Amino acid sequence: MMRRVALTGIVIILQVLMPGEARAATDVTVAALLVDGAVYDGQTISVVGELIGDYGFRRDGSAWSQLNGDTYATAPLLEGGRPNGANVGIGVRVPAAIIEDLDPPGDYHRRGPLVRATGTWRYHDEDRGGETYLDAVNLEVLEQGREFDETAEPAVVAAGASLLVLALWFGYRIRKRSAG
Amino acid sequence: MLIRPNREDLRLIGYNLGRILVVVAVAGLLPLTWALIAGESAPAASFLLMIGISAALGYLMMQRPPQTTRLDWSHGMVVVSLTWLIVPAIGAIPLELSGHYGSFIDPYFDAMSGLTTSGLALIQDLDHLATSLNFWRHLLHFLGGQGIVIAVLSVFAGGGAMTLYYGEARDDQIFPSVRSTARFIWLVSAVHGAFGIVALSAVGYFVLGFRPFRAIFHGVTIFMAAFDTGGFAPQSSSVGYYHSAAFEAVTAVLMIAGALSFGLHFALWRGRRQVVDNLEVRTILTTFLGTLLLTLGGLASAGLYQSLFGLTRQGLFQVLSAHSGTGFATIPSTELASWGGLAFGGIAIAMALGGMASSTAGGVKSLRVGLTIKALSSQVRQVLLPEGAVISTRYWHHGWKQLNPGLIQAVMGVSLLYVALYVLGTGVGLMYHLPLGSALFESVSAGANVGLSVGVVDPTMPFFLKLTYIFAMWAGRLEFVAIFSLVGFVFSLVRGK
Amino acid sequence: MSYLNPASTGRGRSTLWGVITTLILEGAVVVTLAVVGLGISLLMLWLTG
Repeated sequence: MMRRVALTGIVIILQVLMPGEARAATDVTVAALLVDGAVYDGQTISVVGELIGDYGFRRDGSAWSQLNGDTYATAPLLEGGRPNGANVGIGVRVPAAIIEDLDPPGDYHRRGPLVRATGTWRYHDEDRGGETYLDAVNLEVLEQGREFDETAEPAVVAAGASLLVLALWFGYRIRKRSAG
Repeated sequence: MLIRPNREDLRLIGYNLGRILVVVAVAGLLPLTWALIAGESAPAASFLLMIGISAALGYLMMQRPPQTTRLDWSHGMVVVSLTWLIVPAIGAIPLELSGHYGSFIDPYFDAMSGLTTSGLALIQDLDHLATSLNFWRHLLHFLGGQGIVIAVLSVFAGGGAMTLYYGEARDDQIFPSVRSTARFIWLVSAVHGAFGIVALSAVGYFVLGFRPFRAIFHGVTIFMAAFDTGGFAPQSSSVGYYHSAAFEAVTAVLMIAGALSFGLHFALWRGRRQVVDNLEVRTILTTFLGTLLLTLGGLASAGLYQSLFGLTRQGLFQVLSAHSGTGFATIPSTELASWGGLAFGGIAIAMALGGMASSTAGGVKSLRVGLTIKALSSQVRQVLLPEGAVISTRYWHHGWKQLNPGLIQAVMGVSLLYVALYVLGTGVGLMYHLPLGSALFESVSAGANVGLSVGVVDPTMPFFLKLTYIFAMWAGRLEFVAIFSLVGFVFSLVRGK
Repeated sequence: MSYLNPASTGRGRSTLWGVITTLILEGAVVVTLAVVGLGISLLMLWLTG
């Protein structure tokens, strides 16, 4: 509850400090963009999600990543979250300077930064060979990234090792029989 | 009268299955090593368990060797069909333990999809999957694309190898012995692997700006999925993740390499000039151009892409992905579902027809399509010519060959079985109230081992539909003969005297 | 079944040259398909106005 209040407060404060263009942005979910992206083509939108995969720094000064708007951003599997369907994500392009100091993107060991990305939605962009992506000018960090702990289950290791030993013994017996 | 298989038959089958499981266990060392280096402890433990189970089961089955290890035709077919049922179960163990799946059938579905180089996936939260598990998913493509049995044949000597080879739907006997043919297939794969991994990693690092380890990770996984025309991708948005025409171009080269038959690879390698006369080459070029025309026409008329480059890039890549049986997508499944009309039809037909025989691609195969067209045109000529005229039809396929009634019968038979498979999957989809287009598309994608999806394949889809697609992927990969042999074998076991 | 008798393939090429040739050919196929694709797209865009 307190966390939600704090986040809302941060968002309100940031929106007050934000340039006018971003304040006029429409809030959209990733899912809505995937269902009917054409509707938002050319509009200034804001999308909340987790940055995952890679930050690809290109020679033109931009950086690319993927923004996922699914439940794994707030309830990761390695923190007890339940499987809840496939990932739901969009491509994001931002000026490299905005992203280079952010926490690393999400992967197995890490929940990436939770951000609100604001920019122009490009649907079947003619300048980029028909690609669809968010051309973001701003990323506000709602939650920092964090690392996960993971350990091997002792029972699984024990079972695997025992079976491997058994297999090697079987193999030894076969070899002995064929030699003898 | 059916003769019941005896203990010796069962031992022979079990012994050969055991050898295959031991090779699978050895293959499991690769992702285990990866997991240990990457510090992914839980996946490492699951790979250890998989290796232990596979090796123990394999060696157990080899404990009582048969009197002769020589396989006859029926034994070989049974071994192949059982291999392609058991190995996915073994391969699913690390996937199940990852926590990224719902019901128990889902990891088996993905393992079958991986091995059959289909690429349909039920995995959840792929973007947070351990890199070693992601590598394993793609390695399944590589094992299945080369043929698990071929992997074994390269290592083990033994009679009856021919039946195992044909059981895995390989027709081209490139070298005198199956073992040397298997080695050639591995050599082609290794050479393309070296090129593909270096090229993709280089694009990833120099053009896309990935970190070195990540560039190599993407290079390795996408190579295996492209060359083996599998279609899994390390991230949830498939090849669309990379937002790069350069990356797609390298991927396209590998998809084409994967869709060519290994016999054609040999002919190209040796500098044979008759590849242009080859019936398969002519057929696949014709069908590719036809489906490309349909797709680009459909996309243009729907106004989905206004620019010349955009229309060409998106349409060409999707048709290439569909026709080669790879299943990579540069657009989300929700968008593919909305294509509709001509474009949708073009992609579906491309998937159904498939790549070349004896390649890693699925579908009816261009050789059968070409022979069917030849047979039909021969029939038409027969009607038009005077009664009593003798027509001899020949075709070029690594040498001039005669089109005879037996061959036509075999070709038509398998082609009809593919159509029946597509119809079966469509029927089951309709039973669950899917729209006709979606049911047909997904069924063809499974039966032709393509992997493109319009969103039907999903963790929440009905259990029986999952089973249907598993069966379709299995049957499509083995091209039916091995499966009929298994059914006959089981029937004889039960009802034989 | 087809059987490519390596003895009948005439003068063989070195493995490395064979590799390079095959890869170049595959690349050439991609380029050709791209050019053909551009042509078809141009036609389709013109036809659909």
